[in-house]
Amino acid sequence: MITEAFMIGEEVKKVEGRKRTLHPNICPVPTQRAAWFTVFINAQGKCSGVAPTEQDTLKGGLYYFGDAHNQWPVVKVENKKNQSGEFYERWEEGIPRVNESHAQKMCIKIKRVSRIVADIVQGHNPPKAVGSVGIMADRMEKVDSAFVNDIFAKIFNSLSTDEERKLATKLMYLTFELEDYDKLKVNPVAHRKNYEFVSDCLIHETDRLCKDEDKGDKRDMFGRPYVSSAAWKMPQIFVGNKKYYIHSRNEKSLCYASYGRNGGDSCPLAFSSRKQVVETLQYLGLPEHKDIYWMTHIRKVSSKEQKGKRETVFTVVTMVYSPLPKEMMQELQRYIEIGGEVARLAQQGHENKTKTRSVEIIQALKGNREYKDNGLFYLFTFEIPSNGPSHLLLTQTMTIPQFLKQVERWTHGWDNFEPAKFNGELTVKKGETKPLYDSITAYQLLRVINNRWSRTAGIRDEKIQSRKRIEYQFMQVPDMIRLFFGDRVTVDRCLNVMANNHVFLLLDVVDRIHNGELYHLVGDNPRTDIFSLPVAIGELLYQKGITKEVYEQSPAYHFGRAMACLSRVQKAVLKRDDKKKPRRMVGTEYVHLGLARPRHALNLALTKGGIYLRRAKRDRMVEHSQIGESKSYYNYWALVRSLEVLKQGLPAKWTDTEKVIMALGYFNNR
Amino acid sequence: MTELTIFAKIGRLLNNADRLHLFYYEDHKTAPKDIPLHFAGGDCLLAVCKNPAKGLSWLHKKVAPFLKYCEAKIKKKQVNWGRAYAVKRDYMDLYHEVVREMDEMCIQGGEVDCEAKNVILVNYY
Repeated sequence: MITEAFMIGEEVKKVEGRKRTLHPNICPVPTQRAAWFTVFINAQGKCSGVAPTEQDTLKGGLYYFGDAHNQWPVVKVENKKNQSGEFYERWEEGIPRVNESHAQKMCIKIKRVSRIVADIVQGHNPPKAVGSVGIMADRMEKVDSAFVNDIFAKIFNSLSTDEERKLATKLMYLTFELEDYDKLKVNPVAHRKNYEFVSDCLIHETDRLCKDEDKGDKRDMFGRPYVSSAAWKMPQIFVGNKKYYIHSRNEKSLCYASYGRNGGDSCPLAFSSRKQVVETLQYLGLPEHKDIYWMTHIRKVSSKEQKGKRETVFTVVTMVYSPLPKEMMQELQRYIEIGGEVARLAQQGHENKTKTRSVEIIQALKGNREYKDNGLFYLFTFEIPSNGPSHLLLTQTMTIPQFLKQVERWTHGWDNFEPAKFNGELTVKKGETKPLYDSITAYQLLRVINNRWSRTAGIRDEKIQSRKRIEYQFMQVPDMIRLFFGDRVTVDRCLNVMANNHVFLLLDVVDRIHNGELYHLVGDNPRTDIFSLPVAIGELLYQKGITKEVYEQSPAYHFGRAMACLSRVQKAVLKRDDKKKPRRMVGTEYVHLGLARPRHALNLALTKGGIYLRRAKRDRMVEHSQIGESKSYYNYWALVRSLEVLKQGLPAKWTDTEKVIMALGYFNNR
Repeated sequence: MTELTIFAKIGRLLNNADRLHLFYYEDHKTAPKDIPLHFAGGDCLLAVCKNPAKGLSWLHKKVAPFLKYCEAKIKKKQVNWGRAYAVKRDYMDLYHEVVREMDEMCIQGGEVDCEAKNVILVNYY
């Protein structure tokens, strides 16, 4: 993964106007639910007042220097018990008294970290505005345990509701600030410019180390000189607001055969190389790059797991041997679709715009001169789990024309399913219809595949009205990308999942509509799966090389169609005789059997439904002889046409692809 | 597949029986309610699927009056005798062919298998 991050870094350097990244030791504050207070300190080192931290300050990006144990100027206060006892030792009339040992430790930490930051800043000729850092460190020298108790007394006095008190007792963040920073004409301590200056100082230190290493005679894996690999531990990086560690393999972790041995010695890195890797990952992991370069993905291995492991997955496209325009990186990224703009449009209900937007992206890619170059680009996907080593999931190399060809191929796949006129919309409940989706992105397809629908509450059980949906991480992000690039093995896997799982949903949906029960299946939040399933199937078939013209002539499609038409004929005959419709039509009853035993199902359906078919045939013959045509028996004609195709014979069992085609035939003709 | 061809012919024979019955019905109906529940082929369909030999003999008995009617019309050259000739010829030629092939293949009694039934049904409809 480090190799790939380094290569991406070579390209990221050329991106113009990229946002400066802060040193890894400057971290954004966590966004978990907690009580936030700003503590003002006067010149005597006493707490002059407390106030809730403004939301604008929090949203604008509050940072802290340090790690979980040493923080400045934001300090975390958690009511945890340790060897010294509880943090809040006792309560007197609603005001806590902090355990003396805890209070002492807090003072020592605050003093130490403030002094560290002040020393860092002092060595680099700080401007006057940044002087608040040094002033804060001087004031902190005077704090003691009485100061700590004073803070909490003021805080808890200001709280009015029980809920606020409860939250503050559980978890609190304190930001230390100078009382009189405006009189001293300096920045507030927790100001962006202060953080940036501290970050610059730290980066300057690293650069100095890099220059010192130029004299080294050893070379790291990227050919850069280094002196010693003894302390090459990678600092943490932030992706969004979550912290991740990049660390070398140690003796306890599994060994990759390519390296041959464990440990940092197997992969020496110079400071400059380390810096490049960290800066690259930080750039990629910026919050504004979410769903462009990275996404959080929940990995569940089985459906029994309540919560899967949360991991961050990076998918990056980078050009080699030529400059990388910023717009291109973003457009290509969006197109590969790890949940970018196109998917968001669909989720927000703008399904019609999904297709338009995708077409626009293709035009933009094709129209740009630089994209027409035959430069190679690499696609990398790697993941950084919250615990455990990071690793590379996928690499792919291709030229731009190849990529564009695949993009167009994906887009053509959307036209591989055309809903019948009366089936373009599904009736969710009385008076309310929702159209089927006419396009689908790779990410949406991944989501569709990953949802399993239990078969326990199927149509045979009349008491239970709905199917239960289980989210199951069958396909991961690399599978999604392979699917996008038309990998046949992945397409077959997806079709296998569809055949064993989703076809039941498709068959179920149609019957629920006809019973007026689709609402029980989708509820108040119509699940997009149902509306995107047909186009998903069409796309998968297209990627497999089966176009609409081919599958619509196949026996499987006509079998589904025959079952659908059989139900319609039965309905027409019953209506003509003014008889009540049964709960389950003949076609419905046997189409599910048809998935497993098509010959048997066809036989049973034609036998059991024979009474209606013979009636329909009789009426058709009479009508035809009288008026020369039989308009009212369109369904019978459609059935006969399907049976013409089935005359050639049915297989004993369908393949997965045929099962899916059969379900599509049933859905589109029901 | 050769075996299945005979069943395809049986299905078409039943269809021809329906055409014969329709012809008879059109000349004899006085009101729409005279329409039979099923035509001859449809009536015998299940019986033929169950036991082709017996079923076909029952079918032939059922369509006998219609055949007689057609013969009379052809002899007297009455209105529409050409159509009568066509439907009768279609039925009889196929019937003799089916009977001959069934004798050759020794298909006498017993229920046919699922695939054969499918062929009969599909060709009938």
